[in-house]
Amino acid sequence: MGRYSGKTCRLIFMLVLTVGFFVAELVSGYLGNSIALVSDSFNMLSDLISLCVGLSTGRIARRSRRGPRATYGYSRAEAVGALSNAVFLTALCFVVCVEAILRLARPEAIDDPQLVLIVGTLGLAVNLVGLLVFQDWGACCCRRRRRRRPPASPPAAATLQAVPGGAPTGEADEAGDSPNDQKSPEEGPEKKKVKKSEALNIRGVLLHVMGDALGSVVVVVAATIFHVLPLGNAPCNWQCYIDPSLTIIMVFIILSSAFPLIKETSIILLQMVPKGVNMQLLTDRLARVPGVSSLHEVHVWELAGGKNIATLHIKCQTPTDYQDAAYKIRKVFHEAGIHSVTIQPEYIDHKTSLLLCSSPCISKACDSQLCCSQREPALAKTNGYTEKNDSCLSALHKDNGSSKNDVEIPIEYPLAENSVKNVKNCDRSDGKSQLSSTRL
Amino acid sequence: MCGGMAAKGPGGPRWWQNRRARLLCMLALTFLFFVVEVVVSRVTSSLAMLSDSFHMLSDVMALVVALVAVRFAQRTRATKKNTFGWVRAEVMGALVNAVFLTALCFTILLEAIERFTEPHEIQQPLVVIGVGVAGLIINLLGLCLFNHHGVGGHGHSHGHSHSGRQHPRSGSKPEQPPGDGEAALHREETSTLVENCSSSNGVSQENSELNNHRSNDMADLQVNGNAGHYPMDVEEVEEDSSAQLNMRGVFLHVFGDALGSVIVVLNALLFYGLWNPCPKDGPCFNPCVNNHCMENATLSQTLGGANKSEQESITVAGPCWLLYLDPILCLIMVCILLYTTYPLLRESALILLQTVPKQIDVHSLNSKLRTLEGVEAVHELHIWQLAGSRIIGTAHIKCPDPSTYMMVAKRIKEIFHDEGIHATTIQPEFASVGSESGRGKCEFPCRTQCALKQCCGTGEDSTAKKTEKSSSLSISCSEVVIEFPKTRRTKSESIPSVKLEANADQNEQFESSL
Repeated sequence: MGRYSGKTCRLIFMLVLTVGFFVAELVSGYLGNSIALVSDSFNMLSDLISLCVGLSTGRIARRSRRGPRATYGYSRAEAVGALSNAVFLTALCFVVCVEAILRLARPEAIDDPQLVLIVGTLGLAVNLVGLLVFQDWGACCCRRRRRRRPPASPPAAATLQAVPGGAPTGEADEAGDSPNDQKSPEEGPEKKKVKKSEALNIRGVLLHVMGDALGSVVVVVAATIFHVLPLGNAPCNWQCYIDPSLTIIMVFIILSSAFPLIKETSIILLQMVPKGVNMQLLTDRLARVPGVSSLHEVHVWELAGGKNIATLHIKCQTPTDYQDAAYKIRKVFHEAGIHSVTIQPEYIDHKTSLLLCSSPCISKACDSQLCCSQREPALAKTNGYTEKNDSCLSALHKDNGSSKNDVEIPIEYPLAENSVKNVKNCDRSDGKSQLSSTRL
Repeated sequence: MCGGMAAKGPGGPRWWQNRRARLLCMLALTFLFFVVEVVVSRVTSSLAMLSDSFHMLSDVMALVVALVAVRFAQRTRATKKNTFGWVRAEVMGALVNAVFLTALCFTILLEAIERFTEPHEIQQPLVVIGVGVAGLIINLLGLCLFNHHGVGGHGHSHGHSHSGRQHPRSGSKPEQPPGDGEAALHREETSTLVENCSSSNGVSQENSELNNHRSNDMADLQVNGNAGHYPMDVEEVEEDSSAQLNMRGVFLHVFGDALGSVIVVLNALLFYGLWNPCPKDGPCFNPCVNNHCMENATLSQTLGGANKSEQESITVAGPCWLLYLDPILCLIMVCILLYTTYPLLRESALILLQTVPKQIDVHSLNSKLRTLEGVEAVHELHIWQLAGSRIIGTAHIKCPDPSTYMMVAKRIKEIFHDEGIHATTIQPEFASVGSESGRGKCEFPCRTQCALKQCCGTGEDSTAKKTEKSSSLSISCSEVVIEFPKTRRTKSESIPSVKLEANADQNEQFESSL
């Protein structure tokens, strides 16, 4: 918990503050018999809930122990927590919107605007403190060398990809993390990773706090208007419509900042390709690695917070091909910002298409349970080009389970004809005559 | 009605429409009712009706979320944006719905608490009863529609999937559970396969042919050549599990709504029957409504006055406990809903967290792998569930040399298959010459600086020091890099690196039917 105490401390502080204010509002609401106070205090309760979710998922994620129940640890908890917070907030916004519409249909005046004004101001103060707490440290932190404090996230709407403050802003969190990797100290990438994943967590909480702050602003504005221009017993005039209309505007503002968060967490949770990675480029580069005849089942996804994971199957001619290629493949991935790669080598046999897995599972029956069906290979590339997928491959032959050492060159493939390219090193002879490609 | 709705005939691409059809049907009904309720509330100027109508609107939103998830999840092809296809969308839809429902419960709770402090009378109970009953009927219909994916779920375990049973192909599967969605689904699957491919194997959701190659000589488990020999449970489990989560989310929403309607109707009935309202004329005293400032004054005044003169003409508003019935019932409803939503929330969250599916024991898998002959070490063993029954595993296997690896490769895949993990990526690593001590270490880690960016970086600690026989489950890639050039043994043999230029006609669409 050492180096993460900054974030957690802030959350705990905010939690304590919110609890205190909630209790105070509740008590004063009952004593003063003001429903407005009581209902406003329950807004704080929703804040509390989101804080608890944020804190607990942060805790869970941080104890990313790999164990028998979770081989990747629980680092994704923050993404899940952020999504939950965002959805929770959306639901609350929906309810608030509904109430505002009802109020528009039947406007009511605020009675006792003074009390509402006071409480609203207090609530606003608490929320502003919260917003500041989550932001301020970042501003002052980045100037230091960020030894012990992970940088705070910038305001909710701002981009989280850029390193705040002092670090060079030129590096967006592109696929090319690598220029930094080699130069910056070990803390650098860690901080970015920490920042990115924690940022999701904090963003969820921040959204709630911001929503609350906006609500307090609306309350203050409406109460001020009623205070300054008291209505007395007159029927409702334009003043009564201020509150609901402002509320609806507020709902839109909150929703517009909640959706980007939902989108970002979806990218992680739906196993999408992380933002900085260009699959086309990546597979192009991979296909060009010498020794790789083709590749398929390429999967790239983000675990959480900048940790990208890739798996792929490559087809090689020989095991030595594989070992050479493995290093270069990792290098390609490393440059793309993906550092956990698992490569499955398959050796070419003439029975199977270059683009299909030689060893999907032990039986065809499992096809539906593979992550990707074997009938049309996903993101498969052969060296130099991609094969267009026919709907029915003509060669429906049975594979007799030829040994993987069988490296006969496929001759009958339709691929063969259009693959003659600039072959520079083809004359580099080898010990194995089989490797003379028919394509030359 | 429900059965007829759900069980469509075999053949034709209707299996997925089944889920979609149900969702759309319910969506249309609910939206219609919402509109009706709004109109009625305007006509009768009943605020309670209007606010109740918005419960229907939340239902509509939940249905929309589920529909979107179903639409997405059908796209199982890998794309440039998502190499796994969108199969996880349904799990996410389930989570979103569960959280949404929790939030609604929370707001209902708040309202109920507010009602405790300030009880309301129900105006126009007859109207409320009428609309409440209509809403209840619609909700019951919805419950019926989504019943199979109800709270208990089917209870299909993933254990079915790898049993390797072979069922005779038949047009209709008698052993299917009655009703529908799943049966029609399988029928559709088989018929699709028959239409498009002469020798179909396995199941698919797309209309493309299965390449009938065999990777190894597992003849006994190979089901090639016999069209349609495939374990039915596979499909069932797959379609059921993640779709089931999604539908459960919808079911819970509808269930919550139904409970709400029940409460409304009950309350209105009791109110209508038992409540003694204040007549519009004549003095009336309502003891149930707290009005601090005026309460005592009014009370003493009215009672004092009444005592002297016409006592009987003072009407006292009906039994007060009726006013508290609504919040109490709401509280009970909230408790029920939360109790039934929590399992759904947990399940979908666990999938999204990349945890190991509960039926798989990673320890035993690890030990099985390690006890294989020829396997020196196993590390970076990861198992996770993509969605439904698609479980994915990766592992690094350390072997002394490539030929040993060839021999054990099949066994390794078998072991995974037996556990139900069919999509695996096995990375063989060969012990570098002379590094006997490096058994536990990853031969192919990324560079040192990347250690923290790896999925299993050594942020916690470097567990790589443990040997393969340790009890540690999986050994993370060590921070101490084994110098990669050492493992290159290719100096002696030069490999012709056939360089082929990238062809211009690369297909931009990385589509594949999955």
